[in-house]
Parts: sequence; C-alpha cells; structure tokens
Amino acid sequence: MKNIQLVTRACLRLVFTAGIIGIFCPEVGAQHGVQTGHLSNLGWSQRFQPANISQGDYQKFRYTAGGEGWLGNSDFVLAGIFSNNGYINEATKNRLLDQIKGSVDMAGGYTLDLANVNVKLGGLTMAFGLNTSLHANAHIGQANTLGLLLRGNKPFAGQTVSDDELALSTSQLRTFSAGLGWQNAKLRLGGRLQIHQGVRHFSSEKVMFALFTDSEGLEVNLDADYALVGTGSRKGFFQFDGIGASLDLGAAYQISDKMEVDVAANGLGWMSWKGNRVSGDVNVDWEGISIVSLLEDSVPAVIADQVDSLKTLVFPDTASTSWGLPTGSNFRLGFRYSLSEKSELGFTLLYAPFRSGVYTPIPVLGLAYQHEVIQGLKLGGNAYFGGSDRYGVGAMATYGFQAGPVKVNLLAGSDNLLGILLPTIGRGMSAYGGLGVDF
Amino acid sequence: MRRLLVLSFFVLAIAGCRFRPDDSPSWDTDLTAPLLKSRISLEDVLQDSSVVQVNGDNSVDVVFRDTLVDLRLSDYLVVPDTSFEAKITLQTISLATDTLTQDITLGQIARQLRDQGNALGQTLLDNHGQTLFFFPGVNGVSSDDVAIDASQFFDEADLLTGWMVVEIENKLPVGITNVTFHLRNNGVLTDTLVRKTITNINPGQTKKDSADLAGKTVESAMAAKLETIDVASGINVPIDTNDYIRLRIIVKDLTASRATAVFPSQTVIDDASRINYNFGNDLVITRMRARSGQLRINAISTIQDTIAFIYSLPTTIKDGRPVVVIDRLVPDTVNGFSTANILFDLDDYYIDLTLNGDSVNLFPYRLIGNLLYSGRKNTMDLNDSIDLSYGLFDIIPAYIEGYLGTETFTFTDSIDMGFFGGVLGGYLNLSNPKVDLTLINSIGVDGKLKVNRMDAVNTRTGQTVSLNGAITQNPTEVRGPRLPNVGQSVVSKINLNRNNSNISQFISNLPDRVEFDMEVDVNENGNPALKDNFATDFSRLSAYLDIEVPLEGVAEQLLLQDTFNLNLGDAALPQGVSEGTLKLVVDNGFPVQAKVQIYFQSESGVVVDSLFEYGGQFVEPGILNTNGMVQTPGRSVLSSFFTPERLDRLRDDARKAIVRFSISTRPAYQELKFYTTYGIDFHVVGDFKYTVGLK
Repeated sequence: MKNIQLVTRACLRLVFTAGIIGIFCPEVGAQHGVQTGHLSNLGWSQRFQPANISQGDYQKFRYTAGGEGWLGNSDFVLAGIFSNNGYINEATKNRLLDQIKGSVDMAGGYTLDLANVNVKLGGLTMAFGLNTSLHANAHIGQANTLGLLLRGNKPFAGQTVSDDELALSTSQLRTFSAGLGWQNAKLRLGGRLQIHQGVRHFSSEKVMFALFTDSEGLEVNLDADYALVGTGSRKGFFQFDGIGASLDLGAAYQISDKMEVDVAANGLGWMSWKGNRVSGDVNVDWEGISIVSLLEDSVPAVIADQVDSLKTLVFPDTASTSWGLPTGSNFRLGFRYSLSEKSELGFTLLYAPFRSGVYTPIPVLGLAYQHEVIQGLKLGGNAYFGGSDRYGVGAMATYGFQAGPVKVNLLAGSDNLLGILLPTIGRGMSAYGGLGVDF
Repeated sequence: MRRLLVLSFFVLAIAGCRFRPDDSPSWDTDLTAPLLKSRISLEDVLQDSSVVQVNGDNSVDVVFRDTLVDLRLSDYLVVPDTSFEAKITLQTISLATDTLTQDITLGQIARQLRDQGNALGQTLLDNHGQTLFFFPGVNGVSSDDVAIDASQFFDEADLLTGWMVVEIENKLPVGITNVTFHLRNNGVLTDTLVRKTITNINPGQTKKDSADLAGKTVESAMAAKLETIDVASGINVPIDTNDYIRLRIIVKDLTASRATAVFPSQTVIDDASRINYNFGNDLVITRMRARSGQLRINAISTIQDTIAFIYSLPTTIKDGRPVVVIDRLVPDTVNGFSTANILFDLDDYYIDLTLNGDSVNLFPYRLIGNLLYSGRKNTMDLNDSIDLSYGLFDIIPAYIEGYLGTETFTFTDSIDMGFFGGVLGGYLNLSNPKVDLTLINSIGVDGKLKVNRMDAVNTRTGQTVSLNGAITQNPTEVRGPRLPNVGQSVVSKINLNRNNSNISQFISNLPDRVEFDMEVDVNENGNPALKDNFATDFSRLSAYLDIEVPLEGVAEQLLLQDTFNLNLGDAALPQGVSEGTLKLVVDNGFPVQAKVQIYFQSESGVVVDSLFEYGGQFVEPGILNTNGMVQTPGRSVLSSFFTPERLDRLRDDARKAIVRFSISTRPAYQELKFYTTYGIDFHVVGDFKYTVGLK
C-alpha cells in the first residue's frame, strides 16, 4: 500500500514537473519530426507516426509530455532579427529585403503536448492525449509587401506597391485524442481520433492590394480586394469558436532486421469555425482630411467625421459567418536503416499541404542519424530540404534512465539549428523537448 | 555524476531555447500620409462669398450693397383704431291698424222706445213683418253702450298720432236725419275719445267721418254709443226688426310714445353717420385699401322684441360689394336685454374716404334696426334703445392715396462690411474703386435726401475717414412715381468718384463699418390740394450704398488673420510613433508672396507654440504669364518637426489657432488683377517614424 502511495506521489510530481516544463517551454519541439519520427520506442514519435502507439519497453503505462516550436521563411536568413534585443536595424532590413527574390513563405508555430498516456491492454495499446497548438503561415507575393511592413510607405513614395498573392492563416487549437495501436512481428498499425477545440483563427480568403504613395506624400491610394475571416480569442478551457475532428493513421513494416518503412496520414479531418467575415473591394484615394475652408471650419470635428467615413470606406462589410477548413493534414513516408546496434539512419518524406497546420509548400526530405553514445544516451544529427525554410540542419539528444520503479526519458533537440547557431545562413529555427515516464 | 551532467545538458538546452520577451523583434518604419488638405480661395480670403462677382474674364469684383435708408408705408401712416359708442332710441312705435263693426237693429231701437214709454216702440214690434202705412219717425233715440274690446292688440297706448274713421251704414227702411257717434275709454279712464255727428243717411247709404286720436291715451276696453238718432217718417214702410244701423270703426295710422301691445313688424332704427379719421401730420387720405383689419360691433338692446339690424359701410367695398353686417338682437328673457358681438374682417377692402368725392378722411356707415313681429304683447316706449359700440381696429393699409403730408425722416445708423474684416494692417491701394449712392423710390411722393455725415471706420486700426464732396454739401432730389403708375420705381444714382468726393481714401481705409447720419424731407414742395400721393405696402423710398471694387491693385505686407477653435482633446501620437514632421505643401495660385504662420493659443490667450520658428515661413508666389495671370502656382514645402512632447503641449494647452498671412503682391508695387481661379492649395503631410514591435 505504501508503495502504491509512493508511486502515485512520484507520478504526480512527474506530471506536475512535465507540465511546468511544457508551459514554460512552448517554443521547444520538432517542426517536421525528422528525428523524433524515428524514435519509435519513445512516446514523442507517436505524433508523427501513429503506428508507434504500440511501441515501447514499458510494462503497462507510459506518460509523455513535451513541446515544440519553430519559425522560418523561404528566402531570408535570420541574422540581425533576434539580436540587438530584437531590434531590426536598417542594414538588416536592407539585407533581408535584398534576399527576397520573389514571393516569400513564412511560418511559425508551436505544439504543446500536455499529456500523452499509453496503456497496454493485451496485444493492443491505447493512447490518450491532450495538447494545444498554434500554427501561423503567411505567403507574401512581392518583396515590397514585406518592405512596406519593414520600412513603411515613405521609402516607396512615388511608387505603387501591389500584391495579389497574399495569404495569411493562424489557427490555435486545443486537441483531445484517443488512439489504438497493434503490432505483430513485422507490422505495426496505429490510428488516432482527435477532437479539436478551436481557440482562435484568422485567415484570408483573398487579399489583393495596390498601394500608391505620392512622391510628396500628398496622396495615398489603396486599391484592395479582400475577404478575411476570423474569430475572437477564447481563453477559457471550455470556450471555443471552432470544433472539428481528424483522424491519424499509420503503419510500419519491418522489411528486415535492419530496415523498416513506415507511412502515416495525419490530421485527416475538418474544422468548422464561426466568427466574422470582413470583406471589401475598396479604392480609397486618400488626400488627407478635407477641410472646406481652413479659415472657417472647426478642424477637430471635421477630422473626426472624416476618419469615421474612412473607416467605413476601408472596412465596408462585416458579417457574422461560419466557415470550414481542412485540418492541418500531413503525409509521411519514413525509412529507417540500422547501421549497427547503436546507430541508424532515418529518411523522411513529409508533405503538409494546408496552412492550418505545419505547412510545407515544398515537401520535406529529411535525413537523420542517431547513435547511442553511452548507455541510455542517444545523440543524433539531421538535415532536411524543403518546408517553409527550404533547408535545415539539426541535432537531437535523448536520455533514459531508471529512477526507482519508473524509467525516465528526456528529449531535447532541434530540426533546424541554423537560425540559432548560424543565423547568417539559417532561414529558420526550431526546438523541441520533452519528458517521458515509463511505468 | 554522469547522469547529473546529462540532466544538466537537457535543462540548459531547454532553458537556452527560450526567447525572452525583450528579444521580440521590433523595427522602425517611415510612414508618410496626407493628414489634411484644404484650399483657400479668393472667396475664403474675402470671408463673404456673397460679395464676390466674377467677371467674364474671371477677374473678380467685390460688389457690396447695403441699405442706408428704407422708408416704408408704415413709416407714413398708422391707421388709428376707431371706437364709437351710440345710444340709439326708438323714433316711433307703430301699432296695428284695426277695424271694429257693431250693428244696432230696429228691434233694439223699438224696445228702447217701448221702455221709454213711447207707444211707437210696441207698434214696431207688433208690426214686424207687416207694412206700416205711416211711420211717424223717431227723434232723440240713443243706443246702449256697446263694449269694444281691443285687448287682443294692445292694453294701453299713448298715441302720438292716429286716426279713427267712423262709418255708419243705414240698413233701415227709412232715412236717418241725424246720428251722433260717441267713443270713450271704458276702463280706468272714461274720457271721450271721439264724438262725431253724421246727418241725412238715406236707406242703404253709408256715411263716414274721421277723428284725430293724436295725444289720446287709449285703453283696450272702450265703449261706443250712437246718440240722438233721428229717424225720418215714411209711408208704407215695411217693418223688419232685424233691419239695422251698422257702425264700423276703423283705427289707423297709430303711433305711440308708449304702448303695451302686439307690435307689428316695423323699422325702429335707421341711423346714418360717418367716421372721421385724424392721421396727423396734415395727412389726407382719399382712398385706402386695407391689407388687414377688423370691424367690431357690440350691441345691447332693451327692446323686448327681436331686432334684426343691418350695419353697413357703403363706401367700404370689396369685389363690388360694400360691407354689410346683418345680425339679430334676440331678447334674453332672463336679463331683459339682448346683445350681439360681431367681428368682420376688412382684409383687401377698399375704403373711399372722400364721402361722395368732396371730403377726406371720412367714410359713412348706416345702422338699420327692424323690429320683427312676434305675436306677443310687449311694452315699448321711446326710451327703449340700442346701445351700440363699433369701430375699425388693427387696420394695416396696403395702399393709400391722398396727400402724405410734410415730414422729415432721420436715419442714423451703421452698416458692417465684413469683407475687409480679416485685414489687420498693411498697405492696400485699390486701382479703381466705384461707389454709388442709389436711390430707389416707389412711393408716390417726392423728397430730398441730405447726407449729414458718412464715416468709413476701420476698427482694427482705429482710423476713420469722413466722406466729403458734393453729396454732403447739397441735398439730393428724390423723385417718386406719379399716378397711375402705382408699383413703379424711380431710380436715381449718385456716383461718387475721385472728382466729386474723397471716395478713394474712404475705401482705402478698409472700413469694416460705415456710420452715417441722413435725412429725407418728404413733400417739401408738395401740393396738398392735388391729393396725388400714394404708397403701397411694397413701396419703398430707399437709399443704398453700392460699392464695387475690382480686385486690382497693390498690396504690401497686407496682414490677414483668422482664428479658429482648436481642441485636440484626447488626441495623442499613436503608440509607437517616436517623432514626426508636419510638412506643409503649399501650391500658391495667387500672385502674392505670403508669409505664413500659425500661432497656438491657450484659453487665456497665451501663445503656447507656433507652427514655424522665426515668425513664419514664406510661400512663393504664383508665376505670371504675359497676360498678368498666374500660370503656374508656386510650390513651397514647409516643414515643422514635432516631438511627442510638442504634440502633447498642443493637446493640453492649445485651444485656439491663429492663422496669419502677410501678403505682398509680386512683382513688388505692380498693380495686379485677381481672378476667381486663384487659390492656395494646402496639404499637411505627416512624416512619422513608427516603431513596430511583435511583443
């Protein structure tokens, strides 16, 4: 009885500790699972490959928590962006804009696994999970659009800045999941149902604009055709503006003692949102607030009137609406090859076509190497091509050790360290970490 | 130890991945946006668009007119309310004509003879139906009193006039040689009213006589008697006791001073008189049309019968019909008198005040009261009356004709001229100012205008220039139209120019007020006998000051200023704006160089800031073409750097903004013409440094 109490108390401490780590480290995680997708014996791999639900050396029960965060873009390196206390100076802006050749994709997000619990029941393994995630993606069609954001419109005086490819999407979800895994000697199968609560969403249905600024600043002309949908922000646990469900399916097949191939289709589902739709096809020729007679009018009153009119002109139509979007699906093909007892290679092909999740405008092709350097400590390195940031180089470490009746597993790593370690060449960065307890 | 090292790595790795909030990217952007735009046109500068007249070549004249003198019909004539009271008593009381008939039979005569012991009486009675060979005749027979009851017509009457006609018809078989008719009161009074003797009435003949009842008092109970009837003798006289003598009494032409009677319909009042107006100032009116007004009649009658009365103003006519007011005074059985209150609108009625063409200020009226037959017996005497109050009230004439009298009207006043009000100082020499004194008279009367004083007052500089010249030295004749030219005007213009006045100095003083003292003498040479003056309510004798100033001349450091309220309230720089420059882009379409400054004042008038340093900045003039017109506006870009502290000072302290322009025509001292196309386009552009933060 006393042992049960001790175990229970230890479990609660671990859960609490994992929660604290998860809450304060929302940035850590894996962007594409180039490494973690191949950690088939550890719980973190299940999110990328549901077939791994059935994997693991624990007896009956396993708890895993962790998180990941990433950001990146397709064109410019991150040097100068996060240095100088985050202040981006003119040189950085100039270099950044020079590096943009055409359109640019930008992405960022995090996933925080608060709890992922596996329970073995005979030949089956069940998985229950709770996580929260945020995904933000943007596509900017013209470098000058970003130039407007970074420099303001004055440097573009006398020019027209236009963009008809703007696309924006941000989704924040709270997800409850339940899954099942099965395996035999060669084959592992897994599936998982996820119920999503939509906490916040904003996306563009269409955005096109052309902004002309007169050379003396006497006139600003905005020609825009846009449609945006968005919700408010729901912070309470039971508050949400969207609801949806998705299905994760995965399979892994052991070709030989050294080779294994796996496939997964994750996030096959649909989200339904409710909120507001703001749309307009506006052409505003703004020459300043027009005062009929500077000598006679009450200037503040005229300003207030005309600013109100301008708001109405730019934001002409707002209506309550509901809309649906596919969940952030991704499709994975993995291949693992054991070089020796302690080292192996992993290949990953990942494609995520929707901006509501991890978005890979170019499919990611990843290569990972893992080596157990000492008992329980595994180190790894990876490289990938594709995704939002086009390429990345990362490193990973896991460490597992026995702590009384439980085994503790730790995870830290990054799919892309370039933005952190070598921002002069890195276009993105990511980090992940986690804590697992096997009973 | 090894485990500790590995654990430390993981902790450090996780901690190292965290971005501190301070690391969130931020950057500065340069934003430029037009904030305000405005155009100051020539009309804005003049501050009064109503005075701007655009000529065919788009040059501009300031055309100003204001009224110096305005004499109207109401200044001449105020029709006083008239109120008259009259007590109209009865002139006559007429009583109805009546006829009474009484027969005296032969049998009655026979019985009276018999009763007197005359055997003839019995003989006659016995021979009824027989023929009496010889009838000896009868003398001195009298009938009994015959009661006459006239109570159904009157109880008693004091007669002023009246006649009684007595007719005696002989239906006896023999003639009557003599008979005396005697009528007397047979009530309280017993006096004889009539005693008449008629002779020689043959059988079948009727004879009559009349008696004057004037001065008699007649009661309804009367007694009539035939006295001393003498009947002639005859042979073979058929005796029929039913034969008779018929007495017929006709009472007619009765008028009473007092009577209690059933009165017949009769006119009891017929009063005609006239209203005499006194308008004062020798004013003589022959004709007048009322735009509005009322006839008011209040009547109280003591007459116990209903009086239908007609009040008429025979010379007050509209659409060919005179004023006729018909109403009734119906007796109130409780109060014993009757009342009537009448209002009659006289709008658009013409009143002929000549009383058949030979008088003035007069018009007649007539009141007729008709007593209506009621069938009831009432008491009436000549003291009964109708108390009448009547009159014309609130008469506002629309037209008058006559002689309007001799009078002097004085006009001491001032007029404001706002279009120079914005000029605070400097030098302005206008090339060709034109000033007219325009006299327009549509009143049918002549007059003389005297300008005692006219001053151009510039309240900003405190300088006053008095008008000098012929117009202030001699009176000016003001002709009016003559009959029948009602509605026409006679216009006279007095041009003030450099030759006959100091008008150039007068205008160049840039007055914002003109003060004047003027007189109009009316009918100084008029002839009252002609009565040919007239006026309508639209008529005016007006004098206007007409100023026409072509905007052409030389200006040097002409100081224009205007003030507008400014309250930025809660306005502040948006969060993230660290500094900014307000850029004033001016496209000057005027051929003037202007020094621009805006002062910001506190509520108490203290200048807390100014837009520019060193008294302002210069705006370049527009560039002239060979025709002297601005072809290309002069562009000036004026900048003023604003820190957040400076904007906050404006927000907290500034409550008024004073815009000041110091204007000089360019090229210097060359006379330039101003066109309506001229204007200054202002653009206020904000150049701000805005810090974007992704916190």
